[in-house]
Amino acid sequence: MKFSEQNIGGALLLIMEEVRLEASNAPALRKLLVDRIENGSHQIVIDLQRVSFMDSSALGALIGAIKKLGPLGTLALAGANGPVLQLFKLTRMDKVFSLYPTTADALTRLEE
Amino acid sequence: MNIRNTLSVLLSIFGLTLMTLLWAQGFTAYQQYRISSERITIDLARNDLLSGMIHLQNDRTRIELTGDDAFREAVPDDLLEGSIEALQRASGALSGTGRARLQELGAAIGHDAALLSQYADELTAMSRSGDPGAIRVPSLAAVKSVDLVLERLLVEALALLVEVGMDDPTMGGLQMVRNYILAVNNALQSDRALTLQELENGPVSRPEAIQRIEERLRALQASERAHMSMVELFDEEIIALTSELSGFVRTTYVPAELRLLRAFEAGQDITAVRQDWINASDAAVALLNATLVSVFAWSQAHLGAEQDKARSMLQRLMALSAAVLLMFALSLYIVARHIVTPLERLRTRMIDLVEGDLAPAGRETFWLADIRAIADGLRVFRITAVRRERLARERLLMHAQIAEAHHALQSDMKAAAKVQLAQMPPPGVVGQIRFSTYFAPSKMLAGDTFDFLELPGHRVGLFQADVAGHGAAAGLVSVAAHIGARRALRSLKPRGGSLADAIKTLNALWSPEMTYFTLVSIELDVRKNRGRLVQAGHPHPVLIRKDGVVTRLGRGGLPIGVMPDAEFEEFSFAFEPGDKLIVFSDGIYENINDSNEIYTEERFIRFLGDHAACTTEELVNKARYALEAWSGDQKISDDVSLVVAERV
Repeated sequence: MKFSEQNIGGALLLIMEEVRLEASNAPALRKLLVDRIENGSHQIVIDLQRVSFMDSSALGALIGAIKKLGPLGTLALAGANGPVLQLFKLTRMDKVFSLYPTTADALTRLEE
Repeated sequence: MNIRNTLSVLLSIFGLTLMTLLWAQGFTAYQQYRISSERITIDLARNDLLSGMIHLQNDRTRIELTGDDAFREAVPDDLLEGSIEALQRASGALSGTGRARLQELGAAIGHDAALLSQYADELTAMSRSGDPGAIRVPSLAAVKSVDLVLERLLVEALALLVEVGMDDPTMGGLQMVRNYILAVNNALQSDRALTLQELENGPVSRPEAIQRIEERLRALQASERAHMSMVELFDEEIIALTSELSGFVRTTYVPAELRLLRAFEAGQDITAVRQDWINASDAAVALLNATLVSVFAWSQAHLGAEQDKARSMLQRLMALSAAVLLMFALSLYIVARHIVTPLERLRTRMIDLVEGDLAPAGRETFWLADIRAIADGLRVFRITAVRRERLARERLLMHAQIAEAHHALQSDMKAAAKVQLAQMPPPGVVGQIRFSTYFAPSKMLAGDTFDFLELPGHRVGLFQADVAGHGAAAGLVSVAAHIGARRALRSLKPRGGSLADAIKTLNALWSPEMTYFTLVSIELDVRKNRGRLVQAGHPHPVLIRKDGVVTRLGRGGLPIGVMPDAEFEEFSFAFEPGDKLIVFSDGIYENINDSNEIYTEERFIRFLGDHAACTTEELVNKARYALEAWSGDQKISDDVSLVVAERV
């Protein structure tokens, strides 16, 4: 799975560089998130700007991550658009994740 | 062409060349030896011929002097015998050689000997008749015949010389000495015969007689000097052979004869000087014979030495040839034993190995390092091949086990799939609602499931669930989801139980260890013509009104198993006869075509709108065709399930 990461302030920014997040790369996404959380990242922003499609497996990976983080951690999703945003709306994921239009918004909110 | 043949051919060529060379050398040496042996025989023959001629010359004088006079001699019994024997020996020796010309000469000499034998018999017979006078005439005739024979013998001796040639300076010198002996003897004998005859004739014509004798004596001296000058062409040792004889003739014999002539001329008593001269003559003949013997001994020794040389050369060559042939045979043996045979065996072995005969070859040791290296290589090759074969066997066994395990797994999956399918109801009418369905798992077991059931109080329950992921794990979870969703519907009270609460309970009880799933749960009330639904992360169902208007139902909701304390809301809608309700999972609109393009939910909704007038059955079939047409060669990656319900 293609991605890049940056540490900005106390937060970890993961930029997804895949166009599709689905069954084929969902296990890799799940592993990546579990690894980062176990290494001590509790403020995580995932940039979904470039992702144009996401299926239930990838959604499962995100849900797994939020469960692993627990109440003290934050998983923010930024830049979700198109079918991805529709999926979040359909599944009411705005109640589970913090959704932001851009990574800058997400980072600003996390700092507050 | 291979190494073996090349080696064999090269060795054969080498061997043949060697044999040819050795044969040529050996043949030459053998020829040399044969020639040297022949020379000895010819020398023997030549000596005998010479000896025979000298005897003949001597006997000729004796025959000439046969008579009744005081000075004359009686015919001796052994007349010509020495000559005949010598000539026969010469003839026999020459006839025994391998050369035709020499055999001819031998035959001619034999013929001469036979003639002489005949003359001897005649003379002997006459002599025995007891009349000395009667013998004179035949004896004169015999002398003439003997002269003829002598001439022929001279010619034959010359022919022999011409045929054989002068072998070397020594033999040339000895030949000159022999010529000298023959010439001196001839001159001596004729001088002796003439002198004795003239002396016998008495004082009748003394001056003429003396003149004739002096002429003969001069002839003797001239012949002696002439032949001596030929001998003097050779070295000291050869000259030494004749010097005694020559000295004797010059200093004793000639002076003795001159003294005899002077006494005879003076009319003195010549008895004493005659005897001196006779003695001198006999001594000359004896010396001459001794010289002849010396010459023969020398020539035999010389030729014997030559023959020894040739013999030892031949022996050396034969020993050398034997050694060389032995070496050749040895190298042939080594090449055959240690190169050709091992190579042949290794080649056979290699072919056997290649053809799959992997039996161990046994520990064979080879003498040559290269061959050993090849043999070791083959051994390694064999071991590798054996190992490879074992690995292949093990791999085949493993494959068989895997196939068996896979088969068992497949059987289990098939059984599980049957169970899963059995959960899902067949299409048909349930409580005044007609249901048409389409279900296509992407793997044998599906994450999708659905059900519809009649509930008390003219109600019909319908749900569809989609467990995240697909395959065996998702299939098992979907069975659990199916049971949970069905229980939730069944738990509804006949009058106005909260569907949202039922789903909330289902969500709260869903184990956090299990995968989440999306669900749409619907209750249709046939009497009231209404429906209500709870949407939990599942795509919005589509309602097609009887008049063809298409609407989406629901306002979304969290999937089951994401948050234990999630709240759900109910959505109520009218559902009248002729209305069609379409429930589906995302698998129906998320497939890609050959250009990697997603079908999309919008396109699917448009499709439903375009086919609003179709029956439930037609709609399901068309949706299926549309899906297949879109996917083309692409594999459908997600479970697809579609339920169309119509109020009848």
